[in-house]
Amino acid sequence: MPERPDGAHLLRLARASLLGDLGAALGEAERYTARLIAKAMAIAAQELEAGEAPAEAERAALAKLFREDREEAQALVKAETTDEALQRLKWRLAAEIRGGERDADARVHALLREAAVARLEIVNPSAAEET
Amino acid sequence: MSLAPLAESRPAIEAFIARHAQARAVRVLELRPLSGGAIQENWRIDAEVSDGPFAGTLALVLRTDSPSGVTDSLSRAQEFALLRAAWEAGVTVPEPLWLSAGPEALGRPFYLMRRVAGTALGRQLVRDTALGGERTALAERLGRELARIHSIRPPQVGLAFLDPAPRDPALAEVMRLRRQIDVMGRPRPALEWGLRWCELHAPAPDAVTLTHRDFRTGNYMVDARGLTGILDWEFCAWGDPMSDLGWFCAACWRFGRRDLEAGGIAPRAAFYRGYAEAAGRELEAGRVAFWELMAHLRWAVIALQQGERTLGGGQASLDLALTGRVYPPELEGAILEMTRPERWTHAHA
Repeated sequence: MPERPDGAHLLRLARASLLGDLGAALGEAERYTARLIAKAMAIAAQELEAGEAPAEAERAALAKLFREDREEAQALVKAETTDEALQRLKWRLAAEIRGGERDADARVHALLREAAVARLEIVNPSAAEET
Repeated sequence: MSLAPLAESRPAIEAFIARHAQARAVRVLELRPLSGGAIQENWRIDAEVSDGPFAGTLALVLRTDSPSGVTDSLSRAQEFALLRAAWEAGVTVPEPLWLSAGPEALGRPFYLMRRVAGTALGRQLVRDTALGGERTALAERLGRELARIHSIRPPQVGLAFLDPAPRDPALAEVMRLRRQIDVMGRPRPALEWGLRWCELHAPAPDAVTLTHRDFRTGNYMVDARGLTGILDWEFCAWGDPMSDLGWFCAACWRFGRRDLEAGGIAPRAAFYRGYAEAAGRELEAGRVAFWELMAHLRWAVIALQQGERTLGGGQASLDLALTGRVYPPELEGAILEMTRPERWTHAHA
């Protein structure tokens, strides 16, 4: 566990002061840059708070699609991290879709949609809520 | 290549204008950079010409490469040739004047065009309805302009630098985007899903014309009365003319006004009407719809590429980095919505 207040909390407070007093003192061009910085801070905070959960959820969904047993996979690919497993499974799915093995596959479509929403929740939580 | 400081460039620019304007003396009164794209730089120039055919004050824009251009865009010399072709076809563009294709004058290629008045910012145009004149008329006008661009057909001696016209523009675009995804080296299953749908449902090849490939709100200038110029010609290629209509109407280029399907400025019918009238034929709505999906795929790939450019010691641009991170998930959501399983009518069972 990180020390408290943690990094995400610090980023959110930093963002609030950037958009508050500091933003009010800036000119038009600087305000545009400040908004970009605030956006970057919001994404970083969101990503820190979410931790490994989104990657793990996507990995689990892909493993289920391919009926891949976690233990079996671990035996196969030693000490594979969640991200490595996720990338490997995504490569497999991408290749199968391109090769025409997943045309109109409703399970794949649902999985891809969930993954897109999960990534949208990090970069734009309010837009994700509307979907 | 490093950019020569503005003050040092002044005499070189004056000499260049004097030579081409056949004038004894040219004085640059104003020389300052305009906010430009990530790929090119634009400088605003006011020059006083002593005599000859251009005597008087010339309001100009100088366009040149930025230090870090995108590799798949055209050179300034090629862009100049396209601007010339568009000007000759009667498209509303800033009049191209003179090209310096080599490094002699400024250390890098550039060209000069007449400066047109107005603003191009998409978000501002969509929000501020005092700009651009009456909006239905503006959309019709843009449709007519696009039809004029599409009146330019291969082969064209002056445009021989363009890649040969693809036999099947839709399938060629699917292959091109797949290659670009492969180059980035990360799996993108949602984009693959959309591209596979496009591969199966691609419209049969039809007419091939010049296509602008970035004809959208944000890339044309307007003043209070209406259109003043169509900009950003560096992505032109031979292609399916309906691809430009799809790019213009795609939901991802409406700047928050999803209800105004013609680029966030007017109903789609107005834009189509202007196009059909100038092209002399009805357009195929289904073909445009296909290219609207393709527009989302292409914009997603471009956004990812922009993000990639900031990695590994690349360009330190927060703007580009955010583009690569913020837009793709929403674009993927839209792509998946347009390609729901029941819409795979041509899938091989």
